[in-house]
Amino acid sequence: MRIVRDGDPRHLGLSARLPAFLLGFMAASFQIYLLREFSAEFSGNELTFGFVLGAWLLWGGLGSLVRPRRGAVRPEPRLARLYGGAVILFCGGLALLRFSHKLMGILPAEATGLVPALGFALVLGLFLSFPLGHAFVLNAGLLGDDVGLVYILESAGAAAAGLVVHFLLIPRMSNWLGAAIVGGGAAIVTLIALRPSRSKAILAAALILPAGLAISDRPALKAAWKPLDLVDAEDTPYGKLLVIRNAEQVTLFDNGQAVFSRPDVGAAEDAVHFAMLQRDDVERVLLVGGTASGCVEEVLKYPGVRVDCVELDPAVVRLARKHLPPPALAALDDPRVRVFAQDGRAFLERTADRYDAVLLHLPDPSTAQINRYYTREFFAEVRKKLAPGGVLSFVLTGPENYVSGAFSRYLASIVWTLLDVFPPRPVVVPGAGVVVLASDGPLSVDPELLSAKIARLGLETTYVSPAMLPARLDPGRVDRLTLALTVAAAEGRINRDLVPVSYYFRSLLWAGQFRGNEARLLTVAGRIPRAWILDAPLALIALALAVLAWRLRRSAAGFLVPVAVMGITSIVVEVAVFIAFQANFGYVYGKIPLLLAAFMAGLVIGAVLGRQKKRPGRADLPLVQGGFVLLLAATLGALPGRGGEPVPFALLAGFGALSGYLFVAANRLVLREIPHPGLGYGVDLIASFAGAVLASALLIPLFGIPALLLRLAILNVLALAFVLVTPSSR
Amino acid sequence: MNRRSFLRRAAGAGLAVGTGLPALCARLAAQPGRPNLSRVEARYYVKLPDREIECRLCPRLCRLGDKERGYCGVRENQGGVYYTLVYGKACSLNVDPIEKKPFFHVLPGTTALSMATAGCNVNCKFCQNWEISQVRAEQVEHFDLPPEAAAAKAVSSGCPSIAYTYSEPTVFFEYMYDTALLARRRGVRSLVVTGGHINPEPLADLLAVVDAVKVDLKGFTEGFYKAYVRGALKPVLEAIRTVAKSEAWLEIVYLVIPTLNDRPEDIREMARWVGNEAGVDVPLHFSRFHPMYLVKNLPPTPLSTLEAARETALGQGLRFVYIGNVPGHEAESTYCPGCGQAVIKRIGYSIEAVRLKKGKCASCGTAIPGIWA
Repeated sequence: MRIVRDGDPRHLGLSARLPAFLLGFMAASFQIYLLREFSAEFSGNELTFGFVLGAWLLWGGLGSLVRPRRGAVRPEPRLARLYGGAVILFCGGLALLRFSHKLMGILPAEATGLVPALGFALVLGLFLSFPLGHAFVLNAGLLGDDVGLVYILESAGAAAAGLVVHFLLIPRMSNWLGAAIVGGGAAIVTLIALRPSRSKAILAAALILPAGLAISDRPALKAAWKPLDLVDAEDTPYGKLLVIRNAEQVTLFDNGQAVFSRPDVGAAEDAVHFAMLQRDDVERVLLVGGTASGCVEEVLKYPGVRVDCVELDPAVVRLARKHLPPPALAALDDPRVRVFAQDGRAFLERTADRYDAVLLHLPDPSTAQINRYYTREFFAEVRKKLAPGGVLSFVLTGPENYVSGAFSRYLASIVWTLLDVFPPRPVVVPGAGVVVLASDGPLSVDPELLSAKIARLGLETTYVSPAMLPARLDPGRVDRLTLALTVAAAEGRINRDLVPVSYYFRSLLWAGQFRGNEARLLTVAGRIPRAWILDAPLALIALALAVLAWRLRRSAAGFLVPVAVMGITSIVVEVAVFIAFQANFGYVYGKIPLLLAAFMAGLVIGAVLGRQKKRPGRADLPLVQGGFVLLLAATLGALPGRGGEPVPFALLAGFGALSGYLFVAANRLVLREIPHPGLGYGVDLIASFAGAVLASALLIPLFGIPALLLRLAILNVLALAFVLVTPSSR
Repeated sequence: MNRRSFLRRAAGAGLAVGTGLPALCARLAAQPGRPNLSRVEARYYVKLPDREIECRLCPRLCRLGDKERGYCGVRENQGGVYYTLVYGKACSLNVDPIEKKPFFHVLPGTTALSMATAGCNVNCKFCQNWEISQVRAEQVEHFDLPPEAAAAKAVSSGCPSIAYTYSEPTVFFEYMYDTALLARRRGVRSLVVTGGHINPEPLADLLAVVDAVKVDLKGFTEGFYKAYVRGALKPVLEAIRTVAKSEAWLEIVYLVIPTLNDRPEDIREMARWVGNEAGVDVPLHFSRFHPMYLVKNLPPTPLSTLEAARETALGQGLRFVYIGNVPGHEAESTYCPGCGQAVIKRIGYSIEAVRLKKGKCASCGTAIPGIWA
């Protein structure tokens, strides 16, 4: 490989550029697989996602701030060691995650708090993302310090990784097998591109360990889940499905959460009967989720019903059929039953049918994705598709014997949202599963009434039965729950697609299980007034920028400010658009990676354009910064889904292009004075870390996407003003 | 700024944030206003020098300095005097079927006024009531319910008994004791639902004023207690022995948790121990585990495991062995050990039939031990 140190990148061959491309490919693909495994081990919710992504960005940014050793002439040997080491650590990281519960000395199915999850995220980020961040700097050395070119190649590699992993690997094979292919492939390309004469041991290990991953996936899973008996596993695009058997009890887990355990009719009865017993003439039923959980069997106990079942992941039904005795799923073959494998909300929005009962059998809203089923927009859609007097029902996990303030606020956020759509007051049934019922007709939780109906219909039930209902529906319990709701509802927060408050309250409940400070920190965050957390920091930033504008008036370091603002903006916009896209158009596997690819494609294009200009014009940075402001305004307008599906793609491509151009142009100006090739990249990533953690974990659920984007626009206006007034930009 | 000074400043900032932030958060997250806690001197503690105390209520024997709280979170040393913070401060109050506790040989078909305060002296990973047991006193919303009011409430609710339950009544000992005394004067019985982690002296005092005790025997190995309960088995076994020898009625619940405490040899050993040390007439309930708290993703107990456990216990000579949390199962009913007839037919919490005459089987006259009236 010929390296010409004349600073002219045109003299660099393809193989000189390959390492930078490989860097982006490795970093993105490693991150995708680590996140998938992380979600499976730590039952991912928005909090953990935000911290994992944030840890990755933070360490990557810090790694790129490390300058190469003085006197090191050839970066290739170090790059080879780094890449080989990264593959080894990647394999090690996956194994670490797989056995994380064993390492912590807890059960495979045991819930962990935020602190262990954060700890693992920080450790993995340190050992993986930090060296890869430093590899950016080394690649710049390889390419004559052309940071712009490294950025373009690295982004192109990341975009390619997203497409390859999401469209070629994930749909076809397990996470570990896909990771093995990626890791082994990276090791081979490293050998070809860098031809290291030393570091053979590292690279040999980098070839062998992925092979080990590939063959040890199932045995490692079985070992990690002991003492439970894992009998089957499947990585689907939607998550990791595991089947555990204990005698006749078969349990299916999806990313660590139990989807069903059979035989056990309690959950299915709760999901079905409280709603079905409300009306005498239920014919059409829509069941979202719960297709394999026994709900269909419960619905078919009613005469004359027809059921439409919607299940996002067809693998759930497939595994259920494989491992449950045939009679358990005979109901799915009943001619009265139709099964659809698609997003439940999208199904509801597109169907022309009307239903007498809509039954949701879904997890609690612990992520923005699931929260879509508990928002005003969704409830409004349900109301449109319910026949007059039709009933909506869902179950939330709750405490049976004590209604805590945290649970009241969580439940109230959902009930208050329901009330906005179904004016008669929704009814709640107390219990370890709190059943929520809503209708524009009358609802009853009178145990005698319900018991009489059960007897009249001759229903054979176990938990929702005349023997159990009087205790479950004890008037004292119902009144206490209703009273707690009334008090909590005074706060009146409505859960919306773009303001997902319920998953903040759910996170509070989740955090309260652990004896650490998670719940306390989240509670504090929720009590801070909006002005303090959204507006006061903006004011402080304005002040800080004014000071910086004065102090850096003769320094090129000032150009790092728009880079930092770009870093925060791009990550927050990505998260916001992903959430809005799913809310408007449904959760369809493949669309999110395509959205990301649109952003990366824009990034590459923008960076190429920026690089073509040898010297950025005076108006370039202000124009680009102004472009961010305009695009943010356009995004705000497009959030409700205006313009259809192409609009989010166009917006993200636009943001990508502006980001790429700005990075290259600003970085070029910084490098004139501060010859640190990784400085701009590091600032970009560290700013993105702040955006990822704050937005995903706190700001979006507490204040919503529109409020956040508005503040982002203001932040970008401040950055624009900074760029205009800073003399060094002239 | 050079790298060294940058790192120095960043480290300083990190240190400031790392040390200051938790304290700031704690202050901001603290409940506004003064919490409505009690300040009643606790029993069963000794004063030590330097305003320290040692609590003698449970085997933890917490040794506390001034302003420190016991493990239970609801008892505090204030200036060398130990106080209970939850005397008269109930946080949960319900009217439950007595079968839900479960007590199967005590006043069948009646209701029990079920009450609890915050706090617990263990930390079971499968706790059903963690929202009130694994928190400190000020972290729950409680209401004033002095002992006299609790006793009166039982009468007005038509409950012939009060159950001290949900969390761990040992930690609100004084409240429970005084309520039980007053309740007895009103003809209301007292039922204790406990994990059995209590010292002999307070237990002996308690048994003088209560009528029945149900002990949750959570496992039968010290390893299980250490790993999943954060307690110890030995004191629980001691407590069971003590109750069995007293006038109070004893029932035992063994929650069968898949892979954790369901080994047949452990169950056999436990059943043998119960028969030898507590008596073959002590009702033993094998309850079905449902995912809860920190182990929400363990599977429910297979029915075959519960049935096998029951068979094992019956094989060890125990005469009243039940399966719980499986409504409609035949093992919910009470069968006469003499003739095998169902003397109390149950479905869930509902009593379908009672065939007892003055505490004896209506068919063959075999005495069925319990509190029937």
